Amino acid sequence: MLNDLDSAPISEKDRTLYAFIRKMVRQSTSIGHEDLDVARKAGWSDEALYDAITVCSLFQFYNNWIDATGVADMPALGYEMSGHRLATEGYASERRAASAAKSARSKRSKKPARAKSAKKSTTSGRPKRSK
Amino acid sequence: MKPMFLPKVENHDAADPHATMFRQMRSAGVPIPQILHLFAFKPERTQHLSLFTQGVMRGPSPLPPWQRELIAAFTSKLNQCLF
Repeated sequence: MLNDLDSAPISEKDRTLYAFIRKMVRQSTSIGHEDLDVARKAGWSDEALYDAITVCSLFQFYNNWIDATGVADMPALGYEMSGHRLATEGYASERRAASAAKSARSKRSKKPARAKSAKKSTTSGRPKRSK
Repeated sequence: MKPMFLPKVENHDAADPHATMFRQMRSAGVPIPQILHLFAFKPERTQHLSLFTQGVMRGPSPLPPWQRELIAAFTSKLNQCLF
């Protein structure tokens, strides 16, 4: 879907939303009442549109922010804004870093710990970063 | 990882909670995502950005979180940004 919106196997309702998002990124100054009418007719509420527009705008900001400061892209982290999540989770991520350190240590010592820590990293939902 | 364009931002001596987080990541051998340096540089303002982002991405909404993630990914993709 990220590559070809027009042929992606998604519902017409979703296609309408992503087409709107695409217009926001590519030609936001030409967005008019009619674009919102199309989205509403497809079944999107004003609240859903407000939320979608806010997500898109926020990530345009992030993209600009990291492009201009030279933040290296991190493909292995995926699109889950992981770095950002680290920042927002604050202390929770510190705890995770601490437990990662602990499991890295126990990994070296014995096998069962490895199985345990592997399971943990899957359930945390954070994509593993590659070399 | 390539250095950022703003070395003083990247090498800034972060205050807590970022300082602790960075220390723990280093000792765990986890590379620090550079975007965290942007947050750590002026935390008194980025804390609001964090909260705002948390609300936008995870707060109550007719759009489930996965769909908001997809909108974010789609936006970044269109911006030719891998983040």
